[in-house]
Amino acid sequence: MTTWLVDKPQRLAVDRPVRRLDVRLISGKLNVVGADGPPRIEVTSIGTRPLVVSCEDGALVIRYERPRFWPVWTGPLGWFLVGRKRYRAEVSVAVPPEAVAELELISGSAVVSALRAGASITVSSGRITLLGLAGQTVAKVVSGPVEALGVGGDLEVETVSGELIIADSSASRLRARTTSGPITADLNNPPYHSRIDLETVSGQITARVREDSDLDVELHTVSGRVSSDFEELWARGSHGDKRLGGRLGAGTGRLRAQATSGHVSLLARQVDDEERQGAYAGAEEPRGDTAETGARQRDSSGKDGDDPEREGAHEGEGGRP
Amino acid sequence: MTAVFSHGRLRLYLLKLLAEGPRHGYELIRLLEDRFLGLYVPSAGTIYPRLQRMEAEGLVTHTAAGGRKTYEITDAGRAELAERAGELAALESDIHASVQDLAGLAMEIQDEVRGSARDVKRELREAARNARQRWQPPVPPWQQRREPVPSLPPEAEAGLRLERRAAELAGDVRRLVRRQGVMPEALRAAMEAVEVAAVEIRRLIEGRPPSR
Repeated sequence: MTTWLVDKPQRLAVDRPVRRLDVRLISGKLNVVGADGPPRIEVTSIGTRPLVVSCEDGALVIRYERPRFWPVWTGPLGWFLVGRKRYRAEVSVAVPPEAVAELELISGSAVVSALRAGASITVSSGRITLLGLAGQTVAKVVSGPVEALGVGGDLEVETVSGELIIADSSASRLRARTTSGPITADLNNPPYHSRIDLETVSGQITARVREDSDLDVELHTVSGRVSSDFEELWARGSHGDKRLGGRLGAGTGRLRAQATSGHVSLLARQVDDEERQGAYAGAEEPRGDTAETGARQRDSSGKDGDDPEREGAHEGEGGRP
Repeated sequence: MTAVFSHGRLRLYLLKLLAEGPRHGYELIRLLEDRFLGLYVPSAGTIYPRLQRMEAEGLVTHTAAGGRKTYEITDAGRAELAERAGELAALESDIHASVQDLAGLAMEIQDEVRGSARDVKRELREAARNARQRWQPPVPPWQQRREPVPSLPPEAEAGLRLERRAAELAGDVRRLVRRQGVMPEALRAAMEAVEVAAVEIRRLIEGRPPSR
């Protein structure tokens, strides 16, 4: 087991394989990026208490040393109450994209990008930003927003008070829940077997799906209005603008949206013929292939898009029906 | 990296990429992916609606060859690009993120995602507001009142069917003829067949005996 004690801003390179990342911070910023090469840690600012970084058995752990005694009787919460300044840190970590991350932060912002095997992020007060994730992702905030761009796989986002925005998502399972705050979801789901659940108590839900989706839809609000761009959905019950349901396409997937007070709107996105035929398919595949990611990162630093190799790859894609 | 996805910058960035040369939608996606250092691959759903809108505004055109669309910038597109040159310069000079500077990269990711999220939210909210205004709860088909269809005398109905079939034929011909690579000899032969059919139809309807 290798252990480092970090008490000033510094960079660490971990020269052993990492399959799991476990970070628990109290306050500050936490950034995690999936990248090839050896795992790296950058601590850009730190309070008076040192962070302990340890690596054992493929698990990279970053956390504070457990104090000899808890402040008063409050347990770990006492850290937050008495020592928010002392325990303030800004930590950035690069791990291989296939590592599984478990991140906890009491107050501050978390940015997580390019992980393929799953991540679980918990922030009590602050914001979570997700970019280009795959696998099973769980993001929970008590107070604050979650913003996700280009997240696929299985995504669960939850906040008590805050807004959820999910943009360009190809997640085949999506659960978004908030108690007080709106949900905006632009879904580029595969047109089959998606499971989408959107739920808010107070706030409006706006969702957009492809016009050729195969979804069984149920929209419901208690004190707002429902509306949809799809003619296949019919009003259920006597109050025509409270509940709307029906089947789009083959109805193999499922979409449920429920608001207690707030409007619920389902929008349709037009689909290009080319997109329908799958001409973009190569660009939409979730990339588990890390070697490829690395190669792309290398060329993006130097050349522009005209390099002959990529043109070649593109022609190859073009050969597909 | 100024957020490329916010405040209509994606549109500007797409124009800039097209000004470098005509490109296929797939290539544009790849180039945007590079801009995100391979961290995120934008889907066709983010690119295509914008290209379509830009095309409607006359900033780009597309040509379809072999089932693939290649987009090209128009003079109007170049004019817009020239007008927003300052903004474009800012967009380009800011590409300095790298995987080496993790904290800086994370800041940029946060800006980019936030910008994009706000754009999406604005766009969807506006669309939803419009949809709500004009939307009426649809009535299920089993509750719809059927309009009685007036019945026609049999000879009139047969006439209508013939007319409809002839119109369909005209449509088919238009579509077939405009297809690429049709041989002129084939067209000439088809022309003769149509002439023969026209004479025969006129004869049948007017009730004249066969000419031979």
